[in-house]
Amino acid sequence: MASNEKAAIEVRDVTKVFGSGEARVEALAGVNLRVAHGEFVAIMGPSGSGKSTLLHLIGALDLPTSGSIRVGADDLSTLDDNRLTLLRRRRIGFVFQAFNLLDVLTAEENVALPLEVDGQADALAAAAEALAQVGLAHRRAHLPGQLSGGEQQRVAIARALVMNPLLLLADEPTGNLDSNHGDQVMALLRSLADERGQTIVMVTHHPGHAALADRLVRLRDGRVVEEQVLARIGEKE
Amino acid sequence: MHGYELKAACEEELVPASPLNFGQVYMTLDRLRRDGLVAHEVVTQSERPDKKVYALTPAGHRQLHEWLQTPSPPQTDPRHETALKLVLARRLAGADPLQVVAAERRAAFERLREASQDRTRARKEKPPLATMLFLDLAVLQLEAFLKWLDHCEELLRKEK
Repeated sequence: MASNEKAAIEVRDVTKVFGSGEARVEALAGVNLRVAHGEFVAIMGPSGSGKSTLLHLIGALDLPTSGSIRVGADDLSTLDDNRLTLLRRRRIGFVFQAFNLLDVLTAEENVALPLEVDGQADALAAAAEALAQVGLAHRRAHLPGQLSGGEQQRVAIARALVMNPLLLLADEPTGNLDSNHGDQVMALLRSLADERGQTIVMVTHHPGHAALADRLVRLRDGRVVEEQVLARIGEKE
Repeated sequence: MHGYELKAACEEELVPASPLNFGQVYMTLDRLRRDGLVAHEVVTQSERPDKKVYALTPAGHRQLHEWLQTPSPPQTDPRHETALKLVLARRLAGADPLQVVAAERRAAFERLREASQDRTRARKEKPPLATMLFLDLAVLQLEAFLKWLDHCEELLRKEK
């Protein structure tokens, strides 16, 4: 990709400092990262290396202390609160380790929620479609408590996809799952990258799950210390 | 079973993707026969040469069951070579054990990527259980190796 072509994400010289004085913690100490459209990137690194902080900054859940972050055409530092909210709602889908579904809503209602908050019509129909995409059409009327952990995470992925976001950000998406359900969630993420060209950034400490991404980015002490491009799935026959 | 059937069964189920040569199969059968663990009878065929059909003897059965119930010795794992490299790199002037970790990790991720791909492809075709066992073993061993490398890196950094 030519360097002047717009990337899905462009992180430049980003630092993030929490607290001050003796409680000062530099979570990110000058991170540069570029993610192409349709790329699936796994961020790894020991705990405290800044993985989740970086993901939160890319997702506009928090602001960097210095440096710039561009998501699509938007430089986050130039957006006011209103536009940041819209960006988070419409262009970024989040998946967390704890599935963060509302217990009293059905799978379909949970998935429809972002559309309803955004005032869009036919939210339930779009939600049903998104659930079908993650293989859960038959579970749409179930409450989260009636679903397995793996199914709950797939509902959360459907909710993240329902707005057709530019980015899917996943913070330890398999961290709460047994290996079988974790593998299923990873197969789903991989197929979203392959079949929809979905741009995905995933934080994980699971080597087998990271190995399914297109590129590994390793953080240590708030810096990118290593990157490794892996052969694309299906390329080697 | 005769020799050819044994070879085919081994390749199909027992150790997929690792072809045996005939010489190996017949030499092994011969040794087992000498030790009294298998016996054969000769079956005459009208249109082809006679073939030998092998079966386990009672002693062969006993030994097979004993083997199944005896825990396997630790595998001699060629990757333990990595541990040697780390230890030596700590002592050798101009060598950096952290670079050894990084190089091993990159290679292991490449292998893990391949092993995961093989497994994903295989799963779609609903392979025999034996095939899945071997593919899972490859993936899980590489994951364990990568976790061990992370652990080594933390220990080496603490020492610095």
